Amino acid sequence: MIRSLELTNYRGFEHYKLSNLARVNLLVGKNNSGKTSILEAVQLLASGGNARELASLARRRGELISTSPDPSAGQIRVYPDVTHFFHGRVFEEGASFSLATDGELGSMTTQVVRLDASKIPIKGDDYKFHEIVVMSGINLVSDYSNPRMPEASRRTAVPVTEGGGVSFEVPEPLGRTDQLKANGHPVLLIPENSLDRRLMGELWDRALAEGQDREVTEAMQILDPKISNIVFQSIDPSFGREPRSGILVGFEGERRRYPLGSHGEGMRRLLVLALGLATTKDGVLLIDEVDTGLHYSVLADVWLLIVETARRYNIQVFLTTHSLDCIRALAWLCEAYPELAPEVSLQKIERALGEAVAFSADQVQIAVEQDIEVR
Amino acid sequence: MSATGKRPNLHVEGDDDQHSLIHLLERHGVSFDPVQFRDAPIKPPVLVPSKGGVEALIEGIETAVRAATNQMVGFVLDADAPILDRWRQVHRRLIMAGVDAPADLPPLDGFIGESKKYKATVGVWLMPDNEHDGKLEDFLKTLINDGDPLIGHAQSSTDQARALGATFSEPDAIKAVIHSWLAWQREPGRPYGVAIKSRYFQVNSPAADRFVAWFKRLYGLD
Repeated sequence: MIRSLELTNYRGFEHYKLSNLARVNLLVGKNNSGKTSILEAVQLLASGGNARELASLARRRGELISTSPDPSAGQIRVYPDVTHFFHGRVFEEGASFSLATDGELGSMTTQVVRLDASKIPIKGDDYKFHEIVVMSGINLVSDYSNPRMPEASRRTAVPVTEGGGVSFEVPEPLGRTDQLKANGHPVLLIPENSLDRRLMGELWDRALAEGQDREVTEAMQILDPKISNIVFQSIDPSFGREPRSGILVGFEGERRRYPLGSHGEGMRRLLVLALGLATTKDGVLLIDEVDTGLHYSVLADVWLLIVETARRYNIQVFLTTHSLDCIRALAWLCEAYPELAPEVSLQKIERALGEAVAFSADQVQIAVEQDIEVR
Repeated sequence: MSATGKRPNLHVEGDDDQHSLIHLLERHGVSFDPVQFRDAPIKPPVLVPSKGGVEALIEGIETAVRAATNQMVGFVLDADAPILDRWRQVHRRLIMAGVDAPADLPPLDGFIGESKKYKATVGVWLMPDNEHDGKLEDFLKTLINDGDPLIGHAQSSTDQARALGATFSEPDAIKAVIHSWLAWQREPGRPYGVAIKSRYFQVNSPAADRFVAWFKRLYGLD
C-alpha cells in the first residue's frame, strides 16, 4: 500500500500531493480537477514506469496527433500524443515529470531526451512483446526506481516525433493484464465505459483459473439474487466486431441464459468491478466513475463488496465519482461496518490547494449528516 | 460563476434558526432564490440546519471548513453554554481547521477569518449578539417593540406558569415567553419564520442589524 503520492509537472498539476491514503480511496472534485490523471499516475507506477504505457493511456483518452512521417508520400498517420502528460504541455528537450510514492509502487521520472543511437545509454528493457528499439532523436526516457524491489528498478525508452507522437507500435490489449505486472503488482484501470469483452474474457479466465468464478457470480447477486451463473462464450461469432456481446447470465430456475447486455449497464458495470476485484490480489485497482450505471440503492452493497474484498485480498483501490449518492453510501458503510471505516479515505482533489484534502471515514459521516458538500 | 455552481453554506442549529434567519434576511433585501442570481457573480448561501443540533454542528466545523476551499462557510450557534464555554468549543475547532481566531470572545460584529490551509473564509455568529449568554429566542426578542403591550404580559405569565408548576427548564423560559407572545398575535401560534414574514416581529434591532451586516460581509453580498 502507498500512503502518499506526489505529482510533479504532471498533466494539470505543477506540484500536487495526496497524503493519508487508505486501502480504499474515493477521489472527488470538479470536472477537469485531475481525478482521472491521478488514477493514470498510479497505473503508470504500477506498470513499472513503462514509457510505452503513456502511449496507451493517451490513446484511451483520444489524445492523438496526426503527422506525416514522409511528407513526399503525403501519407498521414495518427499517433498517441504524449505532450499532454507534461504540465502546460511543454514538450521540449529536458522537459520532465515525476510521480513518487512512499511505498511499494516506487517512483518514476519521465524525461524528453535527444539520444544518439551510436552511444545509447539504454540497455533495453525486459518488455515481453517487443524488443526495445531505441532510435536516434527525441525519446521519452522513463526511470523507474523502487527501493522495496530493487530488481524492478529500470529505464525504459520510447521514440517520439518532435511533436510528441509515439510512432512506436503500442501493443493492443491482448496480454495487457500480464504486462502490467511488470513490477510485481497486478493493476487494472476500469474506465467509465467499463471494459470490452476481450479484456473481460481475459479477467474471467484468470478468475476461473484461480477458482474465483463463484465469488464473481455471488457479487452479481447484489443486483439480482436469482443470478446463478455467468458464462463467457468461447466461440463468439461476432468476437472482435461486437465488443459488448458474448457474455451470458443464467438465473435460478431458468434453463435459458440471457445476454448480459439485456440487463442494463449496471449488470456489466458490476461484473467488471467483481472481475477487477477477483484479479488484482496484492495489487492495485483503479475505477473511474465507480457508480456508472448503478442505481443508488445498490451502492451501499457495492461499497461493501469493494472495501471488504480489498481488505481480504490486500488490494489498494482508487476510485472516482461525482455522485453524492455514492458518498452517502460510503458514509452508510462506515457506520454499519465500523471495522471497515479505517480502510477508507475520501480525497478531495482541489487544484486551488497544493494538496488533496483528505477526509477520514468519521469526517465523511459528519459531512453526510451535516449536508456538507465535499465533492 | 453560474447559478448552477456550488453555493456556500451557512450552518445553523435547527429548522427554527433556518426559517427565522432566512425570513429576517429576506426582509433585509437578501434573495435566496438562485434563479434570480443566474447572471450575478454572487451566490446567496444555503442555510443548512444541523440534524444533530448544536453538538453535531460544532463537531462538523472542521470538516465544513476543509470542504470550503475558495468558498465562504458560516456557523450560527446559540451562546447558551454559557458564551465563554461555547466560544471555547468553537475556537478549538477553528484552530484545528487552520483558522486564527481570538481566544477570549468573538468580535461584537461577528467573527470572520481565513483558513490559509484550505483557502476558506470562515464566519461565526453567536446568538444573540456575540456578547451575552442566550439563544435564538433572545435574538428574536430584540425584534419586539419596546412598547409592545403583550411582551411584558408574556414575561409575567411565563413566570407565573413556572410558579404554578410548569415543567420547562429555566434556560427555556425565553422560549416560553416568545411562544406565549406568538400565541396572541393576529394568527396565533405561527412559527418564527412566518411571524417574521408576517411582520409580527420588527425587522431592525442593534443585534439584528449587526447580524445582517456580518452575513452580507461574510458572503460578499454587500
